[in-house]
Parts: sequence; C-alpha cells; structure tokens
Amino acid sequence: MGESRITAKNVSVDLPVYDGSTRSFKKMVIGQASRVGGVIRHKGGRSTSVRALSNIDLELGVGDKLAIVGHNGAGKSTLLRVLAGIFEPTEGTVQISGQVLPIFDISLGMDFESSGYENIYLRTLYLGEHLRYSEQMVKEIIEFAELGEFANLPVRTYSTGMVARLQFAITTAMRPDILIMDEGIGAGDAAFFEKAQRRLESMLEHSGIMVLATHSEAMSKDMCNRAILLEHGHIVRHGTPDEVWAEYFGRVHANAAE
Amino acid sequence: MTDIAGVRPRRVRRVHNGSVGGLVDLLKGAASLRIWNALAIQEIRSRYHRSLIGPFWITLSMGVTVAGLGFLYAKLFQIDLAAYLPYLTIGFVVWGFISPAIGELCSAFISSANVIKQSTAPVSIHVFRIMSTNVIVFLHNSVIFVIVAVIFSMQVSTIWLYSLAAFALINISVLGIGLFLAVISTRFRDIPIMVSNILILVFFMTPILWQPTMLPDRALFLRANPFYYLVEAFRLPLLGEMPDRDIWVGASMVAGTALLIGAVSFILARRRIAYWL
Repeated sequence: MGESRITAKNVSVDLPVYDGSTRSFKKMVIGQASRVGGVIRHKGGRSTSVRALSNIDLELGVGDKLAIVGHNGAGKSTLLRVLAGIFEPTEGTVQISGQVLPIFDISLGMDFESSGYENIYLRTLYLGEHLRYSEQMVKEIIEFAELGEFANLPVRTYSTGMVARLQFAITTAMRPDILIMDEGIGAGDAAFFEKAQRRLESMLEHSGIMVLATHSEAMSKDMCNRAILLEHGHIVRHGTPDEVWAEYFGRVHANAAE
Repeated sequence: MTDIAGVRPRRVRRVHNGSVGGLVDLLKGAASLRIWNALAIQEIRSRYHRSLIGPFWITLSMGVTVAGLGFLYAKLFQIDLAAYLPYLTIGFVVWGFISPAIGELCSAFISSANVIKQSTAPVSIHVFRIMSTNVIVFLHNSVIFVIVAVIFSMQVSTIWLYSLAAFALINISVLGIGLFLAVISTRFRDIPIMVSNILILVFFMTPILWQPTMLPDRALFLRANPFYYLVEAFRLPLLGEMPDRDIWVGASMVAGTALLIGAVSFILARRRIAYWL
C-alpha cells in the first residue's frame, strides 16, 4: 500500500475505429493496390481513429480517492483503462506501482453452470494472479453472501438476489492497492444494503488509491477527496469533488442556455 | 464487522510498456500455469456439462471415423488393415490436436475480449489456456490409440518415448503458430476463416490418410510441408520405427521458427491488442 502510485504524463489515446471494411485483410490488400477512395483516413492512409484522451497529466498517491466526472463519451472509461494498465497510451507515459483491481463489470467470469464455490475460485483467477485465493476467504464469502446450502449448487439455480450478493461478496473480498471502478458496485436487495455498504467501505479503507468514474454527485462526494472533469478527452477542471461538480453543472447550464 | 481474511498483495506489480511489456506478459502468462490450467479444466467441464460421457464424445466420434476410414482406405490402397489402421489412428489423433488447436488459437483474444478489457492478468494466458484445453482433449483421444494397440497387439517399445519428444516439438510449433495467428486475427477478422479453410487443405496434403512411401521419391510439396515433419516424428516411433535424422532436424526447425515468429509478433503487438478488440 505504501508504494502505490500512478503517474500519467502527457497521455493521449487514439482509439482506432474499425468497421468490417478496415478490419478486413482483403480490403487492405486491395486498397493498397488500387487506392480506392472514400474511406476517411488519418495518419498517412492507415485506419480512422478517434482521439479519446488528450494530454492528460495526473499524479495519484496513497490516500487519493479520485472521482472522474463527465458526459457520456468524455473519455471516462478510456481513462480508467489507461490508469489500470489495460490500454497503453498512444502518446505519453503511465507508470503504475501497486496491485490494480479494475472493477468494470462485477459479473466477469461468472459461470452459471458451476457452483458458488467454483465461481469464487474462477473469479479470483480472472481478477488477476496477484490476488490470491484462500480457504478462509471462500468461507467468508459464502457466509457474507448468505448462500448457505446453495453454495454447492449451480449458480443458475440461484435467485437474482443471491447471484448479485455472491458477485458483490467476491469482488469486495479483494484487497488491492489500487481500486479502479466504473460506477459504484451495488448488491441488490435493500435488506442487504447496509451490510454491503459497510463491507465496501472496509474495502476502500484498505486500498491506497481509488479511482471512480461516476455520474453520481452524491457518491463522488461521499467516497472521493479529489475529482477531475473530463470533456472531449481533456481535463478541464481538477479540484475537490464540490468544485468539480459546481463546474460541471455550470457548463451543463451554459450549454442548455445556448 | 470482523475484517475479511481477504487477499493480501504478494508483491508490487509494475506495469511495463511497449515491447518489454509484451515480453513480460508472455513470460508471466507462461508462468501462470495454475490459472490457465484451471481455466482449461473449467472450459472442458462447461463444454460437456450434463453430458453423460463428457469429453469422451470427441473420442467416440474420432474412434468411429478412424474405424470407418480405416476399412475404406485399406481397401482403396490395398494395404493390410493391421498395418494401416494403427498408422491412420496415430495420424488422426495427432492431427486432431494440431488442427483444432490452431483453429481455436486464431480467436484466442477475440473470444476473450470481455476479460482482456477488464482484467490486468497477462493477455497471453488466453493462448496458454487454449493450448491446455487441447492437450486435455488429446489425452482423451489417445485412448483410441491404446485400443488399437491392444486389438492389433502392437509391441510396446522404448522407442515410443521418442513420440513424447515429438509431441513437445508439436506443442512448441502450435504455440508459435497460434501466437502469430491470434495476433493477426485480432486485427484482421478474415484470418480465422481463411485459416480454417487452409487447415482442411493441409490435412489432405499431409500424410495422414496416405503414406509418404506411396509417392514416387518424396515430392517437394511433402518436404516443404512443415506438418509432415511434425506428424512423422510423432507417428514413426509409435509404429516401432526410429524417424531418420531429416525428420528430427525438420521438426526442430519448424518448432524453432514457429516459436520465434509467434513470440516476436506477440511481443511487438501486445500493446495494441486491447485496442483491436
């Protein structure tokens, strides 16, 4: 935890846009030969691309809980993937020290034909080799998710609430140095809510750095101590969550007035 | 609330970029044996979930094919069934590993797009997982060879052990070819379809149904076919015959070249894989 750090310097990301034609090998070969026109080409005749992030500078250390705020398509998810080390930036550098746990979809790797026990094992495998699995942890997850006898049955026999609780319990059992989340993680039924909230908080306490992309003002003010506002891939405001949300609403109103 | 025993980090993870990142990914992926092995077993289990004989369905279907074709081609080629059927069986079993493995490896990253875009695990584990799945299937299919060996009371010999060495070379070759194809298939989506068609042609061009000795002195297309060396190096020892030096040199060269091309293309392209998905 003491060594957790993310340093992004002058990061830009171009997302290539492929449709059936640019992806096809034939089109590329034929295109090279006959120079067929009509395709929008950037970068010297290669594929079309969209600049998703430009010139992002960000430094996160232990204790930083960052909220990423912005419209749909502002580059929030791309930035999360860059900070998790999944996307390598097209330009600039990102250095990450510490063990990262990205949570984009809490149902990742869930196999409905396998039992609850097997799914715990399976999900730990998918989440990354550095996040170890222990017998004690499994017991704790089963108990927390209130699976009881069902732990040995295939997940497809579970109620929706049970599946949600299991997914939540597995995800929040992890203790990464760096936690990267797309929206918050919920756990289904209301009776479970308080217990889930406490568990989530305990997870956040243990992580050195947290990055949360969110549309929820309340959540970012609750959980974060820093925030950035993204617009068309640029950081347009950097400050406390209060400042950033004020700026965001200001911009939304300004746009609406036009 | 008592704190969860939870998972404590083992060591600090550093993200490497560029080609170094590609190399680290490949090495870490290979070392994550526990992960890809478990995923492979999981995949086999879910593929045959609730089926009574499970993966032995492939064994059964291959067994039936081999028996049927064996009788037909032994007649066509006018060879003794006792000589032809073991030959055909070994060729079929080993091709039954090579061909599906290469075919599935083309989509190694495409079919795991969801995981690759959400997890920090090495990308190369998806290649190793598919290798592992196919080795498990191969082991199931080896049962056919055992049955044939018993029926025709084939002589067990220490030469058989050379087939293990050949199988290792086959694995290295398939891994190399697979890494290369997985990378370019992710970028160009026509490749998997192209490969599956080529594999059918290669099956007929490779001595599996027919025997190299049926050709008037070994034709060029035989010696130019990398799979000829791999299949021969595996098959001959099981028939009690030591492959000659040419075969071993050829098979080793195929394995070395394939691994080199595969590893280099993966190392260079890894940083783009997540974007191509």
